[in-house]
Amino acid sequence: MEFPSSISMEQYWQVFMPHIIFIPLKNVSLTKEKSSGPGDMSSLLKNIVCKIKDVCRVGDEMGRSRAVETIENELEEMENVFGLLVLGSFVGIPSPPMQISLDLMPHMEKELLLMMEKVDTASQPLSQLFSVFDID
Amino acid sequence: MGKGGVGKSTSAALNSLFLSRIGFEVLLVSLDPAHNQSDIFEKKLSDKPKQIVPHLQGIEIDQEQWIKRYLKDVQQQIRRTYAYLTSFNLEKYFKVIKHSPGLEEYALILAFKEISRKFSKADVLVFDMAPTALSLKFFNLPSLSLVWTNHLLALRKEIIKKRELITKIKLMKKEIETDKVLSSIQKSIREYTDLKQIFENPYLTKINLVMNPDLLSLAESRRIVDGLNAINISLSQVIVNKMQKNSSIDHIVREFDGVDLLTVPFSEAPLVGIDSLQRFISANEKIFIKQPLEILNKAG
Repeated sequence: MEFPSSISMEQYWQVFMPHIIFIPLKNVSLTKEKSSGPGDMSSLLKNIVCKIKDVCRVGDEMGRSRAVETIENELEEMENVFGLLVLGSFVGIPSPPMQISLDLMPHMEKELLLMMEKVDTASQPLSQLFSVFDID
Repeated sequence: MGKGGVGKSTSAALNSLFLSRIGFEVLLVSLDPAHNQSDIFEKKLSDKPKQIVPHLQGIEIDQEQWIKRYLKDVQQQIRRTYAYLTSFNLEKYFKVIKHSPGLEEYALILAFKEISRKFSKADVLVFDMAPTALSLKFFNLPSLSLVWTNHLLALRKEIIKKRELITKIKLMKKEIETDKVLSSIQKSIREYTDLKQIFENPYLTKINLVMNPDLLSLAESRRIVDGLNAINISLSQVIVNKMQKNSSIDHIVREFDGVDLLTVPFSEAPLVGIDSLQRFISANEKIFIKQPLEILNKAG
């Protein structure tokens, strides 16, 4: 898989840090004065390991999300093209025989909404492209 | 098939009547939006089969009704699958859609499919076709739709591939989900392929070209044959109707070399009413017996 090598250690750390700082540890009171035995210590350790695992999982998910962002944008464009091809007659684009559009229409709510959404950004193709490539 | 006014409906009526006379169970279906069969048989026909004579039933397809029924079905499906607000005000759009070009021939295709399925026990289904343009569109619809659906299928498969890649990276597993659009495209492809095969199979579909011995009729018949050849459909028989005593058919024989030719004489008496049609068949039985061999073999 390509993404782990494409994300630097520094980026990974940026993702993890806020979670490590702000994650509340359940059932752990820092003001507790006395420890009632070794059992408590092991549950505290277990809890910390659990939280670290959670943080790693969240970080991993975020890393994966970032890695597929471009593919997702590409997919969205393809779905829009598909929507335009099938339902193009509604916006004046050459389209397949009407019955093909109508047969597929009941299953294409997502594409229909996406097409409408794309209309808003259709007049700013460059800004959309810049946001896809994360250029500020 | 044939040019307007050459006698397509009368030929269909005579052929159906003849086949029923020799013992076939025949269903005569009028696909022409300007129905003539009720007038020819002097019997009111509708979209439900009605007995004309023993062994012969007739139906006149109500094209508008088929379009309405189809659109209503699509509308109901949309209501079931879309969120309420997306399908809000749907009627307004569908009122316009029903006038869209292309739905006319699709309504005929729907009727054709339904009738072929429902009356599969009949020995012969005789279809009285609409004028040339609509008939050619009717026969062309499966091929044209297949061009589009195959293209859409390829694009949809690309989309699904990308979607699977994203799911695999995000969730670390391949989530197999049925894509309803893909299933619908595949179903359409199967149906259009079946229809195309039925139209192209000369043993299942016999297309009779009806014409008169005049030059205009010949010119249009030539265009019909070219149109059919382009979609791989061949003619079964050419019926030269309204032949006068001094009419020559040499140019027609030359034009349709290798195709069975049937010459039907001009009738002095109007061919209206069952008795009149029966009399004409009795007087010209040797002409009508020249049916395609497969049909007569079936009759034994």
